[in-house]
Amino acid sequence: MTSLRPILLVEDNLNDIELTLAAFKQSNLANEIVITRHGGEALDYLYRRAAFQDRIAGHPIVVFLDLKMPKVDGLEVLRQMKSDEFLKVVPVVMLTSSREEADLVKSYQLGVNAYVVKPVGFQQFADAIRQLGMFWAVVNESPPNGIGD
Amino acid sequence: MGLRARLFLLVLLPVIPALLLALFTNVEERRLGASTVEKDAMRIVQLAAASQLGVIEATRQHLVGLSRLPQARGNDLAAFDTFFAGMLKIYADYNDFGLIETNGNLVSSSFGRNGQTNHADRAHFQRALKTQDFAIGDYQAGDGTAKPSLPFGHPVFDQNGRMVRVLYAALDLGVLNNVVAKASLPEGGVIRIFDRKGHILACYPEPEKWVGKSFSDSPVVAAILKKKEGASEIRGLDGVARLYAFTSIRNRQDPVLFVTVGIPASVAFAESKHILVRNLAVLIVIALLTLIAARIYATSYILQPVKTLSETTRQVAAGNLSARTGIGHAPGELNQLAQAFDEMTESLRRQRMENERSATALRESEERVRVVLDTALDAVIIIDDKGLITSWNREAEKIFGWAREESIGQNLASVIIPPRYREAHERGLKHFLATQEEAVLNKRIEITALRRDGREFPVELAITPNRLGDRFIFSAFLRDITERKQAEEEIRKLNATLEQRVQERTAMLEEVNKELEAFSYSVSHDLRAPLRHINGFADMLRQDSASSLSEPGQRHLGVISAAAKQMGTLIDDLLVFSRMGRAEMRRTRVKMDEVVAEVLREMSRDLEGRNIAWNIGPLPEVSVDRSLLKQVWVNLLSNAVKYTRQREQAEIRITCRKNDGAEWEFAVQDNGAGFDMQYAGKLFGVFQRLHQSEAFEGTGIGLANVQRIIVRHGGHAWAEGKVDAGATFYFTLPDIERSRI
Repeated sequence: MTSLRPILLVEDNLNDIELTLAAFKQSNLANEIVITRHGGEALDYLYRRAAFQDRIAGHPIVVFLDLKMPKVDGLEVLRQMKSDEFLKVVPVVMLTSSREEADLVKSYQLGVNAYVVKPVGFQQFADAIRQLGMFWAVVNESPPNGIGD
Repeated sequence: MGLRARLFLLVLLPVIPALLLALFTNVEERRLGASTVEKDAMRIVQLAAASQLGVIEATRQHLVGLSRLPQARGNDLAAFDTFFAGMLKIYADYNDFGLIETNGNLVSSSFGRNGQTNHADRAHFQRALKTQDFAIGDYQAGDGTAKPSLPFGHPVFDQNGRMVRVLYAALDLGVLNNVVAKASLPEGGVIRIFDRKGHILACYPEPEKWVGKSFSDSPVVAAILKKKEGASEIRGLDGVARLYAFTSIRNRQDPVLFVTVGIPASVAFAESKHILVRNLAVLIVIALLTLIAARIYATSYILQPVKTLSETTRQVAAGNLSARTGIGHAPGELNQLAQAFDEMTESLRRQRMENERSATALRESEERVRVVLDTALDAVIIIDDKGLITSWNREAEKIFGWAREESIGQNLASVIIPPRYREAHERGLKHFLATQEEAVLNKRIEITALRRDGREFPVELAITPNRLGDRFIFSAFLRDITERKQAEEEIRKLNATLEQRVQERTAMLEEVNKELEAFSYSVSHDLRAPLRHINGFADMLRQDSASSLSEPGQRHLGVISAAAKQMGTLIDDLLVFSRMGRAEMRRTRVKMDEVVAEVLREMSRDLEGRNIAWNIGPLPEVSVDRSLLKQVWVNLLSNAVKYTRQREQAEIRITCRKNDGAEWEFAVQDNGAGFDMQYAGKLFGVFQRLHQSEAFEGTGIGLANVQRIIVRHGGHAWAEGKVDAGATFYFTLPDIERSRI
């Protein structure tokens, strides 16, 4: 597989999706952005189930995961990923509006790779997304292909 | 025996030898007197005997002469009668003469009674016949004459020398009596002549009373007759004690008459008696004089002081300790004794005064103790080591219902201890007395006691053992805790209720807290999201469509972004503030100067281009939550920096000192914009700002946070200031190090 692996964005709020995409756009990342609207959908994607059962195999290069979502929330998705032998190597950046320490602590306990409190200012948000996206999608070498494929 | 009697005895004691000597001398004198008298008597006796012998010899010579007459052998007896009658006229000393035939018949006599009287049984005849010699007969009276006579006999021989007749003569006893009457007798003396049969022949004085009487049966006479000669002191025939001397008149070696002379003992011992009387008189006089002298001496020098002493002693004994003998300093053992006695009495008096004082003090002390005990609000009971009650105060009377008189002497157990605990009480008491181990002593315990009416009630009891000499007493302090018990029960119930309420409240609080947390969560999450969207889309609008927007439209877009950001900051600060109240504190030892340095380092961006004179004093190490305190410094220092922005030369001073309450008092002083003290109280409220946001940005939560953090640490915060003249912010922290370590 030679093409860039996709970035998985898990976000229920459309405004946030738009803002996040705008931020990604600013960072000039060439990776495909896959959007899922809640935890269950994200897991379906990751495990190629339901609507995603026919997608091409392969893990996203990084998962941007909103914490607070209806049904299966971000922490649950994180927990399942980090307890999965294959998925746990996929870096997860937790995006959240919350400054709640409990959420932060729990995320790190579950093995989150980065934690971003979405700032009110768009530019700051865009800067953060850019840095994180660059780091995980470009700078940081992803684990060798084949694992979990 | 009284002292006086003893003294007299002592005085009389030396008289005794003198008395003995006098008596001994008297005995000697008596013996000497007796011996003299005896000699005198002997002499008189012998003289009398010699005189009598002369009379007898004269008679013998007469009879010898008559016996030689031939007619005496012849038969012419009638002539003889005449002859003998004539003889009587010549010899008046004789009462009769006569001739006796060898058959004893008187054949011739002065009274011529021939053949009619027979002398055969008479001593003078028998002895003359037997001895054929002169013989002295025994007393006879009558026989022709009535006169008492002493008869004599003498043999008459014929030519052939054959005794043919006995010549007889009767000597008138008057002759003998005359002789003895001539003896020179001392006064009271007696002289007597006895014949061999104990007839008194002659006697002086009172011859008429004694002569002719026979005393042959009298032991006195018998002794004389037996001893024949000698002397002895004998009670005589007349019952008078006399010294008798006696001797016998012998004829042919045979004692025939006895002469006795008796001199009365009174005469014999007159001299010695006289001397004795004199000596005794002298002795008595001496003894009397001595006694008088002794009495005078004893009275004034012994008896008087002794009497005084004994009287004083009696007074002292009767309790009059001020009695004194009054005998002053003078030599002499008795005076010294009296003096010593006075000193002793004085000492006793002082001692008694001392004792009285002590007794008074003791009484007062006892009274005090009693008053204290009786006014005590506890029942105080004292028992001895047998468990018997010795003290029972008023409160005890009140609590237990027994009067003092009823309980004293009773066994404590039977009075106030419920029957089921009595055995344990006795056992405990014995155990303590045996081992001195105290299980329940010297501490407050709660037990059940018994009232007079039989009701039981709870008491608080403290028993303290006290050693009194070699025994123990036990003081028990009791109080009725019925009310307290009830109160405690109520408190316990209330506590239980309260606990339940607290649990309920806690549950409620926990619920509220959870809600609050959920609220915070949703505020931070849900409230921020729309803000972010407003801001994000406004930004995107400005970036993408800035050129197509009018001038006012662009400005409005800027206001929308700024307002959204401002609101985001407010929400963030509010969340921090709410977390501040809930977050757990983790106290550690924190060096404040390090924290201040760290905060200043982090503020370096804000300090760029500023001219600030920092004056930081020494800051202590305190026990606080480091991150919270750091928040305090961030707020205070950033405030100070912020409000001195308009000063060319800003001055910020950080100091710390110990205040009166031994707390650390920190101060941050600046020369900035200051504030009106009128609003000082509002400074620390949430969202309270004294300045326009245009002049000094901020949310108005910082000082509220400071206040909250400091209060959580047990301190307080306040501020002083003046508009345009700077402000000083203070906060205190307790010196926990000192109180904890």
